[in-house]
Amino acid sequence: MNKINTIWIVDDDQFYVFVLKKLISKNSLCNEILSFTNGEEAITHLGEVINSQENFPDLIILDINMPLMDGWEFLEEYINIKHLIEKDIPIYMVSSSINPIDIEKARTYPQISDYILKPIKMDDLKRIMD
Amino acid sequence: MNEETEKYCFEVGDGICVWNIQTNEFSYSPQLKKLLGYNESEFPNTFEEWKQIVHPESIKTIEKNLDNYFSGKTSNYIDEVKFLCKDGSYKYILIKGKVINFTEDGKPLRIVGIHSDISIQKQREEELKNSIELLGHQNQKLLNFAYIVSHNLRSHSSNLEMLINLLDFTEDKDEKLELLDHFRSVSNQLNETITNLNEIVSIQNNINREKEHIKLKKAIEQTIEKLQDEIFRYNINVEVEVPEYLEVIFNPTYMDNILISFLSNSIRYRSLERKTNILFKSYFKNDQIILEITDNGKGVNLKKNGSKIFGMYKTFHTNSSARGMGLFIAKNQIEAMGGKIEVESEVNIGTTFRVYLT
Repeated sequence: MNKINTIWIVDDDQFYVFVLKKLISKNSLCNEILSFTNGEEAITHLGEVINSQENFPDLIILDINMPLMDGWEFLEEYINIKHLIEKDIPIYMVSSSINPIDIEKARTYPQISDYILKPIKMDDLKRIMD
Repeated sequence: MNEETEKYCFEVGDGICVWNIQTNEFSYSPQLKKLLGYNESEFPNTFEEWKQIVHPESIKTIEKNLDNYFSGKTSNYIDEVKFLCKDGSYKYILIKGKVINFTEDGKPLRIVGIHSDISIQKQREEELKNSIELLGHQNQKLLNFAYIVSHNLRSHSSNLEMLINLLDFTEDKDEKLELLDHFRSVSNQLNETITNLNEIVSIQNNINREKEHIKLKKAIEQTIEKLQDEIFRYNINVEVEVPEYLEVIFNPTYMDNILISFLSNSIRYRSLERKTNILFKSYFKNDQIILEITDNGKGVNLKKNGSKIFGMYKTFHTNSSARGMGLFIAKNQIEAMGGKIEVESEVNIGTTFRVYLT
């Protein structure tokens, strides 16, 4: 398994982020984890990274229901600036929603690698970081 | 059909008309005229005149169905036609027609149409359609509620599961104690979510919650009193422009929660760039009592977040103490009392909630 460098977690649930970070670092799955409490924070940071062309994430774990800018709005913004990003960043939607509307919607975005229902399991983490 | 049989048919049962396609003459049974409330002389005598008492909606289908019949696509002419009665009302008539004889060169000569009044069936059908629509709508609402409940519960239960997972990887004693603290917090959140969900279910089940006469100004002042600490701490100016005497008939528990939700919402989303002013103001509009709560806070982009403002999910601002359920519950309580709520908001200008207290 290749160890990946940077993961971004975009989620407003502080406990989930805390546990996910611990699980990832305890299993030494990656070197650096950044977290953002909503889509807007993540998009703002992505803009800064584009300017410097350094430290792009290797993986984004994205929630749907968040304040200010939710997961769908983040994706729309991301698609608008994607041409400025040279690498392909896999995005995994990780949500508590079993609403088929959400699951179907996720399928319509080629940018989304997979839709994972919370809780995210160790096996899921190992799989998506492979 | 011989003349005697024809005469007999004309006098019994449903309305009957005979249309001579070649001469365009129409003749009717007395029942048909009676059915629509017309007397002998008033009833139209040609196909063109007949069409004038047919509702415009039906004309097109008549022409299409006649065409289908004459061209041999259908073996009978069958139609549901909306007729204008003499008293101005409409009746739905089921017409079944068939050509009964032909000219010497094989063209259709006379067509007989049997007319049955199906207005009552049509009305039932309409009522049934409305009921189905209403039920469908309610089902959708319930389904959405179920998804929200599932989402909100799952977000906590999955945190618990992940914490247990993490505990398996943890050896350090202090670290374990830290996790225990997190267990406690997640458990509290879960409890709070369940309390809120129960509250919503009980609001929706108790449409006739007890109402009392409430002095609006006094209720607002009591709410301000409850949040006095925060109002003082953030140096907020709260004004009440509600007449002393004004009474509303409302459930007192709901009223308390509604007022506290709006006031704490305004405090929570105050602007950090200016002194916060909050105004409670009442007025009458079309005999309805309206209560407005206006602040000069951060405001919300309603185009972006309008559909979510009373939603059960999270909040719009990056504010850690924000819990999205307050306004959702308040909205449900207002609607359970027969009222409604409107919101106007502009980013960095402020927000106005307008509550129709009925």
